[in-house]
Amino acid sequence: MFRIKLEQKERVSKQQELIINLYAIAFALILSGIFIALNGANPFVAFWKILTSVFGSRYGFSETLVKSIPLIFTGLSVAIALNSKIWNIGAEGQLFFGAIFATAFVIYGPVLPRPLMLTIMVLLGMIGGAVWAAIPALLKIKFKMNEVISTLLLNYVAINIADYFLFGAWKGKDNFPYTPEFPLEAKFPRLNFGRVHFGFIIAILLVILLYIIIYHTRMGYKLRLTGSSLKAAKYAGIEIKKMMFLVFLISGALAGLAGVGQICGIEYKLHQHISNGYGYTGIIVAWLARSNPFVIVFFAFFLSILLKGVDSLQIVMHLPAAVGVIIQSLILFAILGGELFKNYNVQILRRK
Amino acid sequence: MSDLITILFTAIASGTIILYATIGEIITERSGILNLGVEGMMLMGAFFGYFVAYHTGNLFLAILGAAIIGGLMGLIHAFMTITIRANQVVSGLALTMFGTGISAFFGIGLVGKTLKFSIQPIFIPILSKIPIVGEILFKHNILVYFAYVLPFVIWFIFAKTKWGLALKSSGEEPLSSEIMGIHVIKVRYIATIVGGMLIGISGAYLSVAYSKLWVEGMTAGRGWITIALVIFANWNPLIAYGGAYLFGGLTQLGLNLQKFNIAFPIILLKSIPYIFTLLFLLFISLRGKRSNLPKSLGLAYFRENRE
Repeated sequence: MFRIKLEQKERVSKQQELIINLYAIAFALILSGIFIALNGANPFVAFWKILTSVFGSRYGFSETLVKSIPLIFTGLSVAIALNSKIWNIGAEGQLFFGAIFATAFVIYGPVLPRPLMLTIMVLLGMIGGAVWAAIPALLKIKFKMNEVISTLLLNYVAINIADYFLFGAWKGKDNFPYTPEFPLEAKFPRLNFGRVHFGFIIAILLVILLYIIIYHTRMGYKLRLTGSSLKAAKYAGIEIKKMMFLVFLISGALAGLAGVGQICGIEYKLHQHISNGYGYTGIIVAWLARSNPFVIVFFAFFLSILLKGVDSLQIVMHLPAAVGVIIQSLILFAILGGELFKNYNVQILRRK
Repeated sequence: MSDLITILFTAIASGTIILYATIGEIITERSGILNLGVEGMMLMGAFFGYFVAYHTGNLFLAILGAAIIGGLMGLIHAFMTITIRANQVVSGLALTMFGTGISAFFGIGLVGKTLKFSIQPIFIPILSKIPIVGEILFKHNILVYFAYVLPFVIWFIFAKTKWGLALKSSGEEPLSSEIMGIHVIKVRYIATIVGGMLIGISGAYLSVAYSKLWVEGMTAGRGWITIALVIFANWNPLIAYGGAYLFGGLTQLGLNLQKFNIAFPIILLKSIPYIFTLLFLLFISLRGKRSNLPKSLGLAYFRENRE
């Protein structure tokens, strides 16, 4: 018999951590390959198809970037909360709420000049997401309710509310559950690279801005201190409740932006499928990136490769869409398993 | 009147789904392991139970299969959180994604397939003859009756047996438990696996007995509601008993409001279970009573620290 002996050690450096994560991802991809093989498809062909579908053409690459835009937003949303040890599992619902708010302006508001109209929609989207995040925030701060459960339950409610409008007041002329197409004034300009839209620029600017805020301002210092130790934050005179509330609002606003990006940049209307589970995938992005904004861009793109790749696998190799979720979960498990090597010296001993 | 009886009857039938899962999750959490993978485990149970039921036509095998698959999912979570000591929140989320994906992937062939058998209700002699109460409580199928008994059994184990004591103390004070001779790691493994088995059964009950069909993602958030109900029940199986049926009742009431001519947008009614769950949680927090929350819930346990 063998037994595994673990000794706690100083957490490894960021660089080693990255290397362990890359190994873990490689391991997860091997497992996914085995899974694909067990289903009668050649995993090498499948992975090759994924790579060529992304890097093999201008179209493929631009479509991958398109998918990474909402993931950057939701990744940032989850990450900013995670920085303060708050689990926002509700980015999906906040994304929808942001989209609902922005759409409401198109439906009920006047058609304004494009820059003004888009600015208002972006702001409304952020407000919508923040409003939806304010509910779990208040529940946590006032009543100590666990935010994992409250944010998650509210996702279902937000999507129901979107359905309420889509099957009711906002229904298109042909009776299908989507709004009429937005006027030109409510569409993000494109960047002359496939469907990549202005939201990409907003996303990158926010990444830089959040990096500066988190690591180079007093406010960011307070944020991180609240996350690392509530006691220390209290001694430092930080008003923790206020801080938490603010974090929730920012987190919700960022997720709301993902919604605006989808309706103004890609779909040009509100419907039930504006999010491809981006709120949930954002959790993985944030967790993998250890909440560092720049690393979020990297992992958002990495997961977009998977999403885009799996889309084409569906078409070319007839593998169902669920493969994407399965691969994502395997990556999560592998990274979690990798934690072992980050926190402990692992020795395998022979048992006497 | 007959409308009301029907609603209460279905309340029991739908409450049974979350009752099994809630009891399972209580067992797991009492040992100190937080399992947020309920939604995924339930889906796996629902899929695999339906798969076995469809191919064998045997209810017992279907439930057994779902229990085994749920137990295996529990084993994954136990390995990640107890042996590897990974973050319990992330492991649970990964488990939910995994279960959602795998069940959707392998379940494609089952969509639209109907079972060749249906579970017959058993009218309990004498009891089912009682007016109203008999109609509501004693004209169900065997799985519902089993769920009547289960919370009492688990409560008894918790309160009156050595096993229960070992389980609870592992969740409260793992280090002292170890000194008292309790093998905390073993206890937590068993609790997570047994919890997973019951969650698997809840899924099979949903697909095979309640809905009588398999649809991708059919649990529709019931796994998350379960986690909230555990808190509502204050980790006590007997309260879970009432909680699950109350919850089933409220859900049915929501779906039936139209019948009573109460004007309310139909689509928003689908939100009622989620909103009620939030209100439940709010109510618990306002009540502010002593909580049975296991002290070490969600914390990794280091056996090495004991020396």
